[in-house]
Amino acid sequence: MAGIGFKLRAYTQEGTLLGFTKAYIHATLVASGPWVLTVLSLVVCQLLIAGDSLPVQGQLGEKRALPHIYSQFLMETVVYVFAFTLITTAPLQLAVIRYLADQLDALRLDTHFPALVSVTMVNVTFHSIVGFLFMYNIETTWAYRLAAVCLFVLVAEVWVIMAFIGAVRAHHLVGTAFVSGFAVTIVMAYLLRYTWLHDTGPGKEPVLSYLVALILGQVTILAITLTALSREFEFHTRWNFDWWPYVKRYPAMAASGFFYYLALWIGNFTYWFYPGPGRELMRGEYMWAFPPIDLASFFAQMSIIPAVIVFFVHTETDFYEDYRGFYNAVLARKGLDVVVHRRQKLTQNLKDALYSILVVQLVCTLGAMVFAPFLDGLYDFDAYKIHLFRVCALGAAPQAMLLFVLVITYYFQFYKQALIVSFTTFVVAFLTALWTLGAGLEWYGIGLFTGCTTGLVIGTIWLFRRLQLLEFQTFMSQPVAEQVPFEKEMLSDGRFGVYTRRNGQNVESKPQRGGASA
Amino acid sequence: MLDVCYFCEGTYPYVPGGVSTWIHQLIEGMPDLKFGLVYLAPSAASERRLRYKLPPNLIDMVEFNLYDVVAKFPQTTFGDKGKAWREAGPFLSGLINGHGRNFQRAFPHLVGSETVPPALSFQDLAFSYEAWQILTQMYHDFGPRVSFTDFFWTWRYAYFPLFKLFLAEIPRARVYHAVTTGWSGFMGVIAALRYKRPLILTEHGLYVNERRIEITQADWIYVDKASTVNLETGLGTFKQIWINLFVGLGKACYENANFIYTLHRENKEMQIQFGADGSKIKIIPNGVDLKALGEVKETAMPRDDSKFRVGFVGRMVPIKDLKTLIKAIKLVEDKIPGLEVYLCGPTDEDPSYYAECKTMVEALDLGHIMRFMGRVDVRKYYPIFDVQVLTSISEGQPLVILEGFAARLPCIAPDVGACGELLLGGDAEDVAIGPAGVLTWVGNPAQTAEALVMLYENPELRKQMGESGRKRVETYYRQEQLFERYREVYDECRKAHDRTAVGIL
Repeated sequence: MAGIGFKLRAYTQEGTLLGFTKAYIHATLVASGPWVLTVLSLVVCQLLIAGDSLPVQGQLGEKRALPHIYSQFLMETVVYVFAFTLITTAPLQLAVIRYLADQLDALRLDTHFPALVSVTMVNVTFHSIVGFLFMYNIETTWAYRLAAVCLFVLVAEVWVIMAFIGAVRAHHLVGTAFVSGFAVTIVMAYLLRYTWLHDTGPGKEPVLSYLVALILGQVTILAITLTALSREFEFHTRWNFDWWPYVKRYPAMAASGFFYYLALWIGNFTYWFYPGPGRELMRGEYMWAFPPIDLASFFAQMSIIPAVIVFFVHTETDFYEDYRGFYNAVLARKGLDVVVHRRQKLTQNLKDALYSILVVQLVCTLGAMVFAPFLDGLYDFDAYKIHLFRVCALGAAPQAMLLFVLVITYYFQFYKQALIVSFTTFVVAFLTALWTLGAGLEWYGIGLFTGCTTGLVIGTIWLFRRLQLLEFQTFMSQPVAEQVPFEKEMLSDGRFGVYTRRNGQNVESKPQRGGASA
Repeated sequence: MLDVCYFCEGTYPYVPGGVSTWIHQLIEGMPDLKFGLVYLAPSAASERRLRYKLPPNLIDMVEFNLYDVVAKFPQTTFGDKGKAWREAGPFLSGLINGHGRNFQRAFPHLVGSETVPPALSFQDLAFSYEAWQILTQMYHDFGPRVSFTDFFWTWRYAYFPLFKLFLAEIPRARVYHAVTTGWSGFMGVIAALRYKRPLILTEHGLYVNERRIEITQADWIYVDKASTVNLETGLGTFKQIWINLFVGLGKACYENANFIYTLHRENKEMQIQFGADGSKIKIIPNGVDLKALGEVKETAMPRDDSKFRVGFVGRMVPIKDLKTLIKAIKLVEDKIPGLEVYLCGPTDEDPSYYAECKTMVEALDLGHIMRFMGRVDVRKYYPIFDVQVLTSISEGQPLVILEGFAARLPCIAPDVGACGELLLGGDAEDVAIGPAGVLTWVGNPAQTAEALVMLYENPELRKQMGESGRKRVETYYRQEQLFERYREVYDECRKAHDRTAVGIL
């Protein structure tokens, strides 16, 4: 009898509900590692540099203290490396995190190692070229140029490796790697002063040895993490560029990472490249810097570390449980009431957690402001730098909270929303920075605060409004299995169907169907 | 413009069977009319091979893939979405409860007209927050403990084809003729409302009934333990939802058809049960070409009176319940010397079922008696058979019985569909012609076996029954009668200036 009835495939719950669960959060944690390491290393280097001296020209045996310009050059080299690698690798990091999470979800372990190799290749090639083009016209020694490019490439690679570690939840590797890296940097910074790298002769870079020490620190981190990772991953020699489509598939996600980090640095960039008072040309024609704010913003990042750790611990435990609880209710064939209840619980707990993290952050920010004068003894902070440090610390508070909100937003795959929030943050931060150029030096750096506060407010309100609709979002946005491209079946007037016979003639649109019989 | 457009769901011209043959017959029988058809297939991937030589007066044919989801395509919409949701909502949510009402009110917002696009696009219907609200509201009608995930996916699989159906390409014709309810019947409703032309519905077997059997047996539908007032016993929420959906689509079709035809009385009663207005229903039985069947020159093999040849004609599919026949043959294997059973019909529609049957025949050591013939020209076989046997779970008005009768072949058939009427006669006049076979219970090998033995032992009775069958066909089931009746209704509809001018609406 007639009827096609049910030639349906048994329905499967398509798509990944629990995928990439912890990945973003781990990445956040491990990403703060290099900051701490580098800031601490720079402090140590600065202490060592303070003891260095240069021979006074023409007066044999006479020595004078190393001019400030040298240590500043080292400092700015590091700032440049961090600022630009963060921005350039952010999209790649997010794409890789998402790709690896999907692979883990599909229980594919064989794709990791080839992906690691190919990502590293792309990353190293890209940053080598960019780094080299940048350094080519910087007036310094070739050794320093090469070392700077090296650091640039290595740090970029560390960010990407952090994404891998975060994605496969191997963060136990991070502690050892960073402690070892830090130790190597300190020891080398001390020891290399007695080698040819520490050449104080005319036309030489006396801080080269410190740069090399920093490089060796990053090399140590990479060596430890890479060895461990390749031991953990299945070894395969084939190429794997499958992660690349993720950049295209989730352009909003990639772009949101880009704008978040751009927003972080846009103030500095503005002060570097706007011909105002206070900026200094480091070397060449374009390596501008605004040393007070570069230093202050770099150090101010330290004030978010306790909050990052609290956030990490919370998301690892409570939030993850709630998150799983919600999706388990979905998968375990529970009624809608249960699903709604779990969502309400998740939302409430998340609100509470963000509130307590905010308290932690505010305490840290307050502490940083109060104790700012103590920096004077540590790294050559004058009154203006201390003021800027306070401004940057003030900005770091909403910046950290925004980061957390964005991470949660990624969790729920609200990528477009994340993009709009980070783009808004960037725009406000940039506009504020432009405004400060006229408002005076005491307002410099406030863009981070205004931008991130705006982003945080919008992002938080939006996130919780979206979470009110989480069930709707979760179900209705489930991918439709095996979609057919509509052009195949759609006629020009928007109706569906395929003519196989018209005006009494068979239309041979699908010749594989065979001819008439019977 | 076409005169008549058929809606064929998994039948003509790609799947052979009673309905397909019937459509082919009608198109060929009215060469002066221009025909079109829309073929509904589950998906583009399903294999299609023409099983009939398409007559030259079949002008247009559109193929429509029901379950292939086509999403995210541009669609223009028009009008007030708020109002559209208010007016379309009751129809959409009613369907899952087995109500097909309110479609006329929802229609403009879902289908639109030839010039005005609908207010609700596929995207609105499938992904919007308003759709979600209707969905959750429907869910709450089924009770709080029902698995929401399953409910959601059931909704998707049940409603996405419907949303696509709203946008189906349907050739313009003066009359639309649906040959089942279900998806294709509903497509007929859409066509009739879109082009304001009359809709005729002919049901051979009852679609809703057949889907019910299929759904009840389906193992891919999750059966939960929840019990609410909405449920029939034991099926669980989700099987019930599927059944409700088809009942609902059927009701929409009954409500909007100008004329409803069926093959026999029993069907008519069931149609009324499923929501059809009894005053709309008329009976037009199948008809066979007596001339062609009566004058077969060449037979498949010479008759051999030392053999007792039993014929089974039909597709090798579960609804024909071949296994009951195999069991019955096992029971009579020793009682009927020279027994031969010919199983004639396509085997490729449900290959796994066919394989099961073959295995069963081998396991019961019946290989030397039962032969799978595949697709053959059955007209060459009827004359060499001594008796025809059917064991179907469900039947309409089997054409094969009529064809057998035309060749004076008595029949053993279960008491389903119109089999009783065919074998024993309908009204008193018909009964007077005499029995043309033996009626059995459904799924009862012992009774089938008993009937076989009886007919084997009574050649005289066989001959008498064969004559009665022939006479019955000559009186009531001639092809010309079928053509006349449909010709009449087609003419009436073709001349109508509007769909409201004919039949009962």
